[in-house]
Amino acid sequence: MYQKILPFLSFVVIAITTPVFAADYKLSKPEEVGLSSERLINMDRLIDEHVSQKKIGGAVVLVARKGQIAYFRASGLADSGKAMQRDTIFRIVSMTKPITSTAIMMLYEQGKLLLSDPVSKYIPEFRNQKVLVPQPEGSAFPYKLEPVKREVQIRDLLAHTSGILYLFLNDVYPSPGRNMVVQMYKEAGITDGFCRPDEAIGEMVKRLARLPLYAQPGEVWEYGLNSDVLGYLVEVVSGQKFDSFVEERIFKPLKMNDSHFYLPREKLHRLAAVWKSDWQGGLVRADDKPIVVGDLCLNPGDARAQSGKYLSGGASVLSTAYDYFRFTQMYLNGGELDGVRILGRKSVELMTATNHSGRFDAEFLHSKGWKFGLGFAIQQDREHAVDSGDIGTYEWAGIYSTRFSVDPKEQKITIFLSQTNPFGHHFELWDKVLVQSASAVAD
Amino acid sequence: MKLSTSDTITKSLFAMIVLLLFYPVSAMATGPRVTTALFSPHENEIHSVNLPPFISSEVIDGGVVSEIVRAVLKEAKVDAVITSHPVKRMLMYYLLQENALAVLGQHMHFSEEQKQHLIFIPLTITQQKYYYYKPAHPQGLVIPVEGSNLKDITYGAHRGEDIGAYEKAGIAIKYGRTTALLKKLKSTEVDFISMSPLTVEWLLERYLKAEKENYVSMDEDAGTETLYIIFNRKHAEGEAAALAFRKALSKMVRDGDLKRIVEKHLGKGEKGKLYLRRLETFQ
Repeated sequence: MYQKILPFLSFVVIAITTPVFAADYKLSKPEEVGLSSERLINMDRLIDEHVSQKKIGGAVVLVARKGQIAYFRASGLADSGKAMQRDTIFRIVSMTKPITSTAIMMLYEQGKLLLSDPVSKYIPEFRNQKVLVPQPEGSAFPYKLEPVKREVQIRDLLAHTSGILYLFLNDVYPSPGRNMVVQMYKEAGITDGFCRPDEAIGEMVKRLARLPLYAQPGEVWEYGLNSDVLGYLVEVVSGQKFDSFVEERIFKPLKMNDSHFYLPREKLHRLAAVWKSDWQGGLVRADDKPIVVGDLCLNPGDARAQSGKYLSGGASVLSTAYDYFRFTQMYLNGGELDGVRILGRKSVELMTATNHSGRFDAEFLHSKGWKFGLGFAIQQDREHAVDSGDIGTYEWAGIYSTRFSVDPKEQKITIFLSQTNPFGHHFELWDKVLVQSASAVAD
Repeated sequence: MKLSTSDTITKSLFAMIVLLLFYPVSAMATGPRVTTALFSPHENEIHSVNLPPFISSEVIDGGVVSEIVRAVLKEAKVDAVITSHPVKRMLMYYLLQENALAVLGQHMHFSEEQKQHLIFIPLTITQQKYYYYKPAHPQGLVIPVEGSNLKDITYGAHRGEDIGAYEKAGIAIKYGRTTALLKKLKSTEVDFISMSPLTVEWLLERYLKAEKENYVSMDEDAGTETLYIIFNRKHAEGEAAALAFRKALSKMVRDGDLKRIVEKHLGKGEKGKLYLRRLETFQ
């Protein structure tokens, strides 16, 4: 009996634990693109360990090199009683930002705007902005509002140097000035957009523009609502709703068929659940109620809405590993994929150039040695502790634990998608995934 | 106190509000989204919060109150522009910290010492009504002056609003912006709010059109709110500007200039006349 079922069991084990080269994904063997199958088993081990230890519910990991997917594996659970699939759909949240940056760069290439343009040229509410300067304790008024030395430019929004904040970082980087600005955001009904508000993005952006900045434009790197402003800017400049623009001009040409701002009903069953993890084996499927911790508000249930008003350029997209591979491969190819050009090579170079990315370290996701270009964090030197990638590697991540990395020198893309809260534990796992990906290079 | 103000409301005010409730919103169709003046740097700024449809960059010519103020300023030869802000605390900052020429607003509280330096000119009174969300209270919601049934319900208030009577009645209070309060009614975070019917009408039309029928006003009056222009004596031109403004306002009411502005925003019907009468009562 045992001998009879052994082949079947072996097949099941192999099917579950090794990359499956499904025809529709056009996969290659790792060795064909200079990667080691043997070494990629370390990736299996890493993810399986985290799944079996109940640190994460499951994950999809994709590694591509030289334009070919060489590793594409789904592990664990997508939802209670439902295995993770390679086509599982994820809330990619802040991995929306590079998509929004792409839309802006397309308008830039069309001559519709310049990166040096003040944002107020298109959104008048950005005129005459003020910067909040906290006053010493005991002062008659707790802050002063000083005029901006120069207006916020489109480039500032792409590079997060505008002085616009995210509310949730108030808990991470507490300071009197930040807290005062965040309290004003709250009073004005500004949210981070992770819990989709019931209003159009333009309404929020116009209020945000009338509130003080946290710092002088260009004089700080501060991760904030900049991509949300860019999303509205796309609407103003193109005359199209932001989601329509992205769908028509980016998703459709790149055949990102499973990328959406609001998920069609027929794809709901492919949506991954969010898991709450204490990283010590306490893993619980989150319900669809908002998760509110301090100034952070997440709402896993938002992803089940089929329609809504809020189109966040910083957070709204739902997507798959394969779709995001196509998006990043377009970048790796210098702006085109399968004969469809989205951006010119020079624009891609501008966005990802290490010598254009400013003097500030982008320390939120990484550490010293990483700068923020025009849509991505870019590795600029070897100071960063996890340093398997090359200088020039560009990356970003999402708050439900998603991460991508593009290494132009090795022509390699790594995508890790999970749906786990809180995200703070995941930095180590993400970095280890990137180490495994880099370690598999074998040519 | 709002819960016991019905006897102070004149019949004309009540009639005005009833008429305003039925006022066609199409008459206030959004025009150019912003005017240059709203965003120009200027030595003399009058700071304001958004109070649609009275003061808002989303309404044609900034709304009826904005246009009246600008017209009066012109008549008074006071060179100033209106700058709008999304939060009231910025008004307080500009008025008290940067000695701005003036602010436009309601629900603003000042210390006695601060009042010494301020000149209050009432611009208009808006009648307030209580609203609730019908699906949350299908049997209706009644707010008696003293009601033991109020302990389990929540009132949605604007920051700075006088909430003493509600607290006394044991009603829980939650705060929010005007639009947010309407949404909190729907999400049942709050049970009732008080607001100008014209504001409610405008916001529902713009943001919650499909839900308009679910927002129901109560029979009880919710009192009135006065919208002031508050000039600053600490500004070099504050006192003179206030005097000139008051004189010009009276003259324009007498000459019928304001009637034209009111009719432009509120139409030629009875509600426009009533609105104008409110202005006349201050002269």
